[in-house]
Amino acid sequence: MRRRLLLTAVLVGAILPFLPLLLWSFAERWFYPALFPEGWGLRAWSYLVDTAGRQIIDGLVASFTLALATTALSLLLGIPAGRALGLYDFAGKRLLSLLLLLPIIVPPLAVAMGLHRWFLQLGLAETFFGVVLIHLSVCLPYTIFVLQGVFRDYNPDFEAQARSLGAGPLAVFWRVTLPLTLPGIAVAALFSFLLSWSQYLSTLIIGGGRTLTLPILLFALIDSGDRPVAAAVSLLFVLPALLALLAGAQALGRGNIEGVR
Amino acid sequence: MGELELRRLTVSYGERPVVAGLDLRVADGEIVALLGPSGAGKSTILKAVAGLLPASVGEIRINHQLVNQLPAERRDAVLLFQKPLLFPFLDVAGNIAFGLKMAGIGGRQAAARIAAIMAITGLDGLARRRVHQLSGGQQQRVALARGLVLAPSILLLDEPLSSLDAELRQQMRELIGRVQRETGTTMLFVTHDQSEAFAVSDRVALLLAGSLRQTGSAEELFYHPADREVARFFGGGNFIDGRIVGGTFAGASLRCPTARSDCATATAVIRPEELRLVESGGDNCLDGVVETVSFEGANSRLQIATAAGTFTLLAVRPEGRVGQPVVLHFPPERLHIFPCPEGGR
Ligand SMILES: Nc1ncnc2c1ncn2[C@@H]1O[C@H](COP(=O)(O)OP(=O)(O)O)[C@@H](O)[C@H]1O
Ligand SMILES: [Mg+2]
Repeated sequence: MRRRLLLTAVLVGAILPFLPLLLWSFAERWFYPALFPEGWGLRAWSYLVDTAGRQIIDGLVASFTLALATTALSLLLGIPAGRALGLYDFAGKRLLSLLLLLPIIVPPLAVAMGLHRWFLQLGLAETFFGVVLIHLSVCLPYTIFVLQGVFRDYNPDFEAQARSLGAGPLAVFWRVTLPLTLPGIAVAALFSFLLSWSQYLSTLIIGGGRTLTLPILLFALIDSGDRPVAAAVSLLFVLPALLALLAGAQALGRGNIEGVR
Repeated sequence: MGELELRRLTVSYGERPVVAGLDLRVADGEIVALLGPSGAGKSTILKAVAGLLPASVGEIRINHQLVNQLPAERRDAVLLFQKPLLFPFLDVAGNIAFGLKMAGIGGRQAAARIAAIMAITGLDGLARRRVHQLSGGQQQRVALARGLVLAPSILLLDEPLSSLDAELRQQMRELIGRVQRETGTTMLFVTHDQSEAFAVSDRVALLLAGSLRQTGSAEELFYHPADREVARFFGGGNFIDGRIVGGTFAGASLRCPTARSDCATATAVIRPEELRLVESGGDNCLDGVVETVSFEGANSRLQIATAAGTFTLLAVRPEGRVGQPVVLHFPPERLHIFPCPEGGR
């Protein structure tokens, strides 16, 4: 019941806003003040599949690998950091927490511009890893922020109990820590993935036009002024993100129900 | 087979030793209660034995083998925490199977062991239950089964009953006793509750402020405390200062025979429930005045001021009023005399 409600909320909140895009992508003629398109057709979609097909697939792959790599790295760094911040008290913890939020407050454009010089010197500019790093500067603070909250409610005695029952450090992580924190980690991963997926400026600045992600293609197409095509690309852009969100929401719904005592 | 021996064990948090110079033996098949007030260091000792905290000094031996360097997962001791700490993502059988899985035991052998332990702990029919659907008592029994199924040499229990209400606590107490008899598991049982310690254990070890003050049978600790603090812990704070000469203790006009040798600064103690109010004075009596009376249900507590200090008396029925002059009788056979302190001869 509760899960159905949650899914309905996700569907209404997330899908309804895309209705105009859907209409645009199938529109041949649509002039003001008509409420709906006056002519329908598949021109935009066939353009995407035929003419720009190769480019779009490359863009999808680039966006996907980037988002995946960024998410993996941000979990790898964020789990220990969030755990330390959430569980333990140490000198300078508040200052550290605040500093971690800085990249969220400072506009990403400023960060990317600032880092560009260093990235050039370090040979990281216009490389895949360089783009991953700049995405990480946006994603990691969010990841740590979410995981810090997860670990604040976490009881490490579960791990001590598992060790006493014969679980080594690795088994403790995979069989106890991870399952206990999975809903929170899923949220952090989702955040990180979506943030990386929707990066435009930072990708453009550090990637220098070499890393052609979907948002970069999207902006190019929007620039060309062809609205139906831009709408179709937008939908394509949103689709994987929407799927990730749905998967995440489902995992969360399950977690919440399990969490009820 | 399981035997635990601690020799001069010291455990510290940072620089501060919380438990110091601890000597304790738990024999095979024995259940020893480690009793002490909150903050005495009981949990710290269990964690050190389980390998979850390092011992800074001393030896921990399980079955004569030195285990100080063994990590927790390889020590043949299982610690049960105060809270059941059941894994919420596993069902009852999954929780009980956890340790077996870690030991690489699965299939039919594991299933048989799990079924047997569930029968002993009264969990029949609950194998597929989610843990959040269990009552507090059932959760605690699953935790117990999860430890027992590994047949550890020693089971360490950290106040496993303190989160249960009175009736469940009684049931669990009996269950632990029965399980211990049926499986012969050696147990070190931590509690701050003296009646629990007395009821569950073969022997009691009293821990005060990080050091072991007395080890022995429940009666020994209760009626023959080693010193003032032990006596106070068990609620007996009626001290009489005196001296022992030629086999007789004398102090504050009280006299009683003793087997102890001569001592210039001896102290006797008497439990509050052994003091009597009598009609008229005689041998081993002191005159006094009732200072306070408080009704506590099963008994009433009277504070009585005398020339030799204030004494506490526990009476079965409320008797006496504040300000009333009374005569206190000290039955000499009930006086316990502490060992002579260093330099007191
Ligand atoms: N992680 C810790 N760091 C520092 N001091 C601790 C820690 N855990 C417990 N202590 C201190 O050690 C002492 C003994 O604690 P504990 O073993 O938990 O006592 P008990 O179980 O007998 O109540 C207490 O004074 C407590 O404040
Ligand atoms: Mg404790």
